Amino acid sequence: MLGVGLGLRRSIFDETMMHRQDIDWLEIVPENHMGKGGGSQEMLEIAMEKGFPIISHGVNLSIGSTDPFNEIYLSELKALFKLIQPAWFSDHLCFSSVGGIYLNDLVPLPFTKEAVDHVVKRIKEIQSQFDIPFLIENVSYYVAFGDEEMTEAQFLAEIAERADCGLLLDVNNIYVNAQNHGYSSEDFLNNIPLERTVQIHIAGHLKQERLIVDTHGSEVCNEVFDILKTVLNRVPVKAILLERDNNIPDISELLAEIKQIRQIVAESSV
Amino acid sequence: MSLVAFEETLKNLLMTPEGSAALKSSEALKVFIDTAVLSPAEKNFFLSQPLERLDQYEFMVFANVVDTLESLFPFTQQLLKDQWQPLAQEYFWKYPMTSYQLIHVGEAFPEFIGNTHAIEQYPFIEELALYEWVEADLIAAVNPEYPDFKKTLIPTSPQELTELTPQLNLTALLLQLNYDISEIITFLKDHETDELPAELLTPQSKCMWIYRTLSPYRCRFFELTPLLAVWLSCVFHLHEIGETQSYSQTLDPLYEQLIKTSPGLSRTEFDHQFLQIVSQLMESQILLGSL
Repeated sequence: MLGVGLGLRRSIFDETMMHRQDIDWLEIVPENHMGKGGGSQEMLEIAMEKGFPIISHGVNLSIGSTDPFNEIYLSELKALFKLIQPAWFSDHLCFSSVGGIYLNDLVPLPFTKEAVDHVVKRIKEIQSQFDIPFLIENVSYYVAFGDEEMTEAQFLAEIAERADCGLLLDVNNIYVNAQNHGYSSEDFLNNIPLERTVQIHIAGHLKQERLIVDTHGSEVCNEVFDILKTVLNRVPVKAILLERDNNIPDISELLAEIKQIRQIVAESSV
Repeated sequence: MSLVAFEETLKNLLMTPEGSAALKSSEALKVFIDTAVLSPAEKNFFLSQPLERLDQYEFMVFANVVDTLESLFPFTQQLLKDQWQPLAQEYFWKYPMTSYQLIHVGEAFPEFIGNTHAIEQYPFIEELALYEWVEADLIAAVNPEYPDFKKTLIPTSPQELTELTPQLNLTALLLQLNYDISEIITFLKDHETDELPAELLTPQSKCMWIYRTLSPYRCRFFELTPLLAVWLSCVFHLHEIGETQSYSQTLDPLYEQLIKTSPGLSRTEFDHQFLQIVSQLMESQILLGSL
């Protein structure tokens, strides 16, 4: 197992480097480093010198887009992988660009057969271009798709099975979606191929008046830790990442959460 | 629900002024959706969405852009104050992102801001934004590949100027400005006000070499004389075309130009004056060493 990791963020870079013994690995947003030198490259080099394994988690591959893949993106991603040598890489089950325009956000796909066919084809195309495993992550979504054709769990399951890819299971997104769309997280877990989970994301969210928003800007709540426990009691996973992108607190608070995650891993029955 | 129709409609809702207006009320959304090329079922999907959920996406998509613009153009934002947000919104609609890297959202911003009413109040605003963009662009620029130069090899005599070749720091750009932008930035750093002293609003021709130091990676600027600007541009160009020339060879045309206005200046005097400049350029990491 790779262990429990943290996102590589510039604002806490020095503190992160000082805690190699507490943080097993680092996750990067490749778009922040692709085709870049200076401090962006230096951060990666320092992290690698410290012995941190690095995993890449993209935001703009736009796997669900009806646009062709951006060839420059793919070639720069490959060049980055030569440097960081990730054990696998991942991106989100969504689209973030259309008509050559980037929305720079994770916009969900409708749960339809057409979208399944499209994404499966696109994941296979990506798998054929890279020699490391590709994982797809369940995203949080706020629009109401209904389940006339299929549920979110069926959508994710069919894509993962047909594309034969791994899952990056975001347990906070499961909680957020279950609350916003009125389903049970237990049902969701029962209807996805959980054994395909390679990596887990865990994060905090923001409760608004009528919506819970996946912000990665607060501490992880107990309900989300409970979903993590459920998953870890059912399947072995290779890595867990504590995601914190906004309102980043003192490193000691993040290390305390990492410790809590380690405790859950230690107590899990699988 | 056609995937193409879904993606196109969401993009138009989230990234255009018409889409933004449509998200203000159910009635406005209905008008917007009625004119979109969608099947009845697709129209029904969008019209059945709670507005606050579509709003959430509009908020997130714009917030990602405006947050990035604020990190790229802190001094432009400081000056524009209340005008910043509406201008950022206008920019977001007029210049949709075509890069997968969010930082590139700033690329067209200087030109955009120079064509807004902000230029009437702050005639230097385009140059200020350009300066901020150049710094951000240089700080993330790909590391150049350098030949095997020696950091400690600094010419100290006219003879060495003929023997050594300068190694320029290639993460650099020459900016010809009409205002003293570095002074404006210094003032804005020290004062929270947007009221600038009159002398900073007066046009002053400035030739700035903006560059990224190697250790640590920081952007700096160096004000150049016209002659030094010509010399650095010449050496930069030689690097770009892969040609090597000694310090003396690169200085020959400058000396020939100079003696037209200062006929009494000997080449030895000229070389000695230049040697003093070389040590300054080395100290500031504009020159990295010699070959």
